[in-house]
Amino acid sequence: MDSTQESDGTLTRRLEKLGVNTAPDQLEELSAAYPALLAWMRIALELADEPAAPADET
Amino acid sequence: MTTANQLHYASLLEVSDQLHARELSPVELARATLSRVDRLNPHLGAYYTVFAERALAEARQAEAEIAKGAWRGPLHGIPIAFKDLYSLGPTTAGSKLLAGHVAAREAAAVSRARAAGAVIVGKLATHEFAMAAATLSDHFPPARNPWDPDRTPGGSSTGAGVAVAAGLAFGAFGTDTGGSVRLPAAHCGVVGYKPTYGLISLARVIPLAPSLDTAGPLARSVADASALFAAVCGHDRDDPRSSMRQIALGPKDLTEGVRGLRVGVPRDFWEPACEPAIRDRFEAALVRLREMGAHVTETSLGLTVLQVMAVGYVITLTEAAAYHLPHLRGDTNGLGREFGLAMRAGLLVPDSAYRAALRARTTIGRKVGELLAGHDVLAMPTVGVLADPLPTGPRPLSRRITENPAPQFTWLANVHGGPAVSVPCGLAPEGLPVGLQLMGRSYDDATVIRMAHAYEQAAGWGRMHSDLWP
Repeated sequence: MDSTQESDGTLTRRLEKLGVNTAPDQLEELSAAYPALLAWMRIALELADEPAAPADET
Repeated sequence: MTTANQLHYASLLEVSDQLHARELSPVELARATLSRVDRLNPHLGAYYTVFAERALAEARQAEAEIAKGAWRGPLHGIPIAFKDLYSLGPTTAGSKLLAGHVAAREAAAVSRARAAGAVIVGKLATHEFAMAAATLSDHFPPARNPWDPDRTPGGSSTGAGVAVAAGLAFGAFGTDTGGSVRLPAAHCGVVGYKPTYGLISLARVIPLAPSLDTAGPLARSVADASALFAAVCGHDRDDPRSSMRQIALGPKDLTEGVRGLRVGVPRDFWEPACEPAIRDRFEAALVRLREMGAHVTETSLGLTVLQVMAVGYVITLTEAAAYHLPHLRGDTNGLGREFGLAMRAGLLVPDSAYRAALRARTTIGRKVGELLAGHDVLAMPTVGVLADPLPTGPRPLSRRITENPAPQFTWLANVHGGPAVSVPCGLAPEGLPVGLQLMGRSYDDATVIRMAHAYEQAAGWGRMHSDLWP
């Protein structure tokens, strides 16, 4: 889950490993949305690692 | 007493009183409702399936029971309907994939409503599997907003919002994973109630994201929504998510007013993403709450709507993709384009990101909990934009998975898990309804219901309906 843009081929292979085929026009849409999906995952990671306020730790 | 030509827009509880007093026949009521559905559904698309004969049989049974003095409660003889995710007869989840599927056993919530004497009119339109936006090119025609039929009614419980707003049912049950009860309620000008997670059984309801999914009613008043909830809530051992802790909503919760209740307004969360017309209606609602004696204070959540929606969507896409993996591996011609793409995106979320989203959910829950330690209720608009025009075809995936999502302030309550109600707070200049959302502490549904009811009574928006469908 890093910020590196994955190639279309990588996305296709990851889905194929799960037994899911993806048509070229679908792959184009997936690739266009993938950076935002990565951004969502980064947001989740940042919030996951956010420490509780000191008052909550007592 | 409600006159015949007002009957379809009467509240559930008003009609219930008339049925109980035998001033109105359940059979007449069912016939009138079915006749209106027959006339308007071709224009509004609220129902996929109508159980006309069975509904009349249920109404005849209710009539006989009430005549004998065996009144079962507020839903006895009342025409209601269910989103097409609830197993009951033909059950499609709005997907061509399930066209022709007939449920073997009905959902627990349906059985409970039936046991309460409800007359079940039919199955209501939904976004495909409670996610992909309905479009004009879908296998099932989309439900249309009664205030402007060229616009979406909001989803995913599209048909539930339309049926209640257009007088095609006296109440409906939807499901709410990120706002799917409250969004159509806001866009259609009715009440939508998402109870605390786990209070209504989801046994035999097709899931979207099991850790967030919540069943909830849509109705024409807060009191009606409470009555619908009360009829079906309660622990269910067939649903592992069903809470052992249960609550009761009673008449006292509707009569105590809001004087002294503390309302927090987390402006940093919703205001930057909110259209001015909606903000104006919300500000007017705050003025009214202050006039009613509530202590309204500005507060800060320390979260953006993007953060909350990102966490909610990472969880939702991952859980939904896991459920639908067999469909994605098989013949996928039955899945709509947007839904199939969204599920593929869910498969691309690594386990580590899903686990991070679950931890982020705890962070968000803690922040909401901190605010609710000092406030009884949080108030914000339900959604920051007005209803969109119905799309002509599938929306690109980048419209849903985006760093600039349509601001749905509803996700906060799903990620937190507590109760939330959307109640109408007026019309925007475009003539489209706006919703006020009130959120509360988990299991303190009574306080949220109490405030929503008091606001509804004072503000007078509760009985509005579109003039297009007299």
